[in-house]
Amino acid sequence: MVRAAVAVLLLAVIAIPADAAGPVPQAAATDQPFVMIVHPSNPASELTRGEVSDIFLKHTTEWPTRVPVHPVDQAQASATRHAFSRAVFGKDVQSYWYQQLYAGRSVPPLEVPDDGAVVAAVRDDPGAIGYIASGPLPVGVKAVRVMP
Amino acid sequence: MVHHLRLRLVACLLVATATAVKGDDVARLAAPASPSFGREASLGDTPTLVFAASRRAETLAQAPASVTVVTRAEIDAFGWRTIADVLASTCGFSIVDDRNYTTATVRGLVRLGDLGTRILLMLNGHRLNGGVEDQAFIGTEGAIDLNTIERVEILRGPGSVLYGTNALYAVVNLVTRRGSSINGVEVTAEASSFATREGGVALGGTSARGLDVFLSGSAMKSRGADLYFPEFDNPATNHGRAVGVNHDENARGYAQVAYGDFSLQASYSSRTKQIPTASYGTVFDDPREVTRDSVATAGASYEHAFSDLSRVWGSLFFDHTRYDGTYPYPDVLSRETFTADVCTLEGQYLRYVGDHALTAGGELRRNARLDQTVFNDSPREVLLNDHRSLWAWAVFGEGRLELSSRAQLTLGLRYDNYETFGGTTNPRAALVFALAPESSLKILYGKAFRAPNAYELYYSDGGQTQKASPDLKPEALDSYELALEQKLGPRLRGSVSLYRVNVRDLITLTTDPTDGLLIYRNADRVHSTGVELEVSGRVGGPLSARLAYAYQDAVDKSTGSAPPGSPHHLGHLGIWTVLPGDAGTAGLEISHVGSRPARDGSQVDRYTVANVFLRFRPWRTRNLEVTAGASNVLDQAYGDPGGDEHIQLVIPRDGRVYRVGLCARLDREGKSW
Repeated sequence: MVRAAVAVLLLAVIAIPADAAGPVPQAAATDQPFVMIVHPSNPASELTRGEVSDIFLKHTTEWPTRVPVHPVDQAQASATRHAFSRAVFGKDVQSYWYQQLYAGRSVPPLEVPDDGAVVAAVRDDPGAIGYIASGPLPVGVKAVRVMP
Repeated sequence: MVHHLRLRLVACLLVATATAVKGDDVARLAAPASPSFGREASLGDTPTLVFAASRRAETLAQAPASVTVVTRAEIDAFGWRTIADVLASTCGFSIVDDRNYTTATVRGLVRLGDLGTRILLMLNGHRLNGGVEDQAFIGTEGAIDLNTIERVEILRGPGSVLYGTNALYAVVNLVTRRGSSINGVEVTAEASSFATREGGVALGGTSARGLDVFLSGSAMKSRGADLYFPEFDNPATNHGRAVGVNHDENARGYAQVAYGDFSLQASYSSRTKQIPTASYGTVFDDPREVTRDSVATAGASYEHAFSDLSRVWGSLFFDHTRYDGTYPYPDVLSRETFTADVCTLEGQYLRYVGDHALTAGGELRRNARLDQTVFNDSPREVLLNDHRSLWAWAVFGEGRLELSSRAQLTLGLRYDNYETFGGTTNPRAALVFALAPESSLKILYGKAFRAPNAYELYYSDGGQTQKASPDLKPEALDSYELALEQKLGPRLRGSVSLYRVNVRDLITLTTDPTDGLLIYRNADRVHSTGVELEVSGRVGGPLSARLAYAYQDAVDKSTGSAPPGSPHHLGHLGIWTVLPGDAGTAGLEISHVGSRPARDGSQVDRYTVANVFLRFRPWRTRNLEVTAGASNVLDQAYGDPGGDEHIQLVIPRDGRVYRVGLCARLDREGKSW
């Protein structure tokens, strides 16, 4: 009986699909409450959700042009960050960074307080990528579509 | 001679690991650890993290357990030398030193002479409890030099749902430093009272390609205090004076290499101790009564995080432990040798389903060698020559369910199977309510077990005094707890905890009335009820403090009173400050342990001792520090209750002890060098 209970528990962990609690919101360009922005010199025009995830988890460290990737995050309390995390990771990503910090492997991306600071950071850095609330695109940055 | 050989072994361990690193990596060992573009998040606001409560990093407020984390800064500020020193400063722990081994009591739960088998001690998540007796060494016999440690995670309460056996009363996880935190070389030397000399070296750094290497080695030698025992005060036994029979020496080495998802670690330790107490009825004041313990560990681990935030972890470790005891009796010299070789394979997988975190894992352990040999020298007579090998395996699963943005439910279950007694299942449930950032209310339940060890199962001295007991069951524990974690300031936290613990089937040495021989039985039941309060962190400006108080009421159901060695009151105050101009640190700690029952029912006096420690940088540079300190500065006469193996009801601790030392650092950027 006990072994059966444990076995069911283990199988559940492995077999339950990741979206079992409901579909992960897709970051379609039409309905997303945020816009991904990069430096105008960056040739990228669209990224998949997985590519954005890899960039912000620092699994990807270079653009195809060999320019180092510099992700720019917003403050944890930011509504835009909440929407971005839900759309890209399906959840808040803080626990991931706790583990990375604890293990001494890497540190979270640069964190800035608001949209204006994100735009400023991206405008000044050819390798930067950030996100801001949907709306008119500020001067000096380029929007990138996020595909499912 | 033997000691020199051990030192060479430690040196070989260090050199072997160092040579495994490519030359150009060694040249860059001291490179900065952080990524190069220097645009990272500010980590100043990162809350204190703990790993051991859930096998993953989380904040103290999130952790489904009562946790204390002791940092490297505190270890340095108070000049602690052993794990026992660290535990004595934290809530709910008291220390018992019987002049051979040092053990800790938790929440009033204590079995004198149990070698710490009811506390799980880990190094970076790998169990250090080992050997024939599953012992956890925390004194000078400890397998790891405290200078190797970055932080100590202390979980009060059961941990079997994640770690299996031994995680009965508490879990203590030692987290080692990383090469990047050393970024150069540290050399320490210290001299203290009783002709004690201690020295160590630590070397570490990170290459530009991310290879992190940390190596350390240390050695200690002490003549030890001469002691007076009134129980032996007669002319035939040197009027109760044990002179020159308290020698203590150890040698320890540690090596760690981490690269990407892989890490390797290896350690070796050896400790030799003379026993001045004439334990087990041996000849008093005889320098031949000696124990030698050595531990060697080597292992590799792998951890990988995927883009969907799932995480896989695995490790393979080999542990070797050996104990040699020599016990002089009037007509014979008795000797014991216990040897154990254990291979452990562990794995764990974590994934998220929505906001919920699910973890599954397993463990396979092969006790390839559990040998116990007991024999008499002159005349030679073998009393026990027992050789065993055992399998044990376990599977576990745990879910962290986010009930709402403020409520988190943790449900876990682990099944362990042993060749000896069969299976045992241990669950836990924890409801954690977030009250504010880094503040929470926790309702905790957990069940834990301790498997009978090979000594309890199979030790026999040929029918002279003790016989084997192969049918022992595991000890079992149920714990209920209500805990409040409260952030009191930017770097100051407080906690209050109420708990009730019930322990049953405690393995106890009893006398079989049929033949009069000693035998281990699942005989005793104990419960403990108590409250714990702890405030720790930065009080203001350069001042930091740790204040802890515990009231604990443990009752042995067979006697209706507290178990021997169990105090009702424990208090600790530790204050340390950074000296003006960053010229070093100064620390003061005051510890109080309430009166404790001796094994005959009398009371061992309460005591309060104070320790001071100063770390001074003469030229305001980190490269050279002078240290000085004194423990038991008021020279209090106090002691710990002796277990059944001693005639003494109370075994004295040291009086005032002075110490001075030097610490030299050579940093990569060391401009002053």
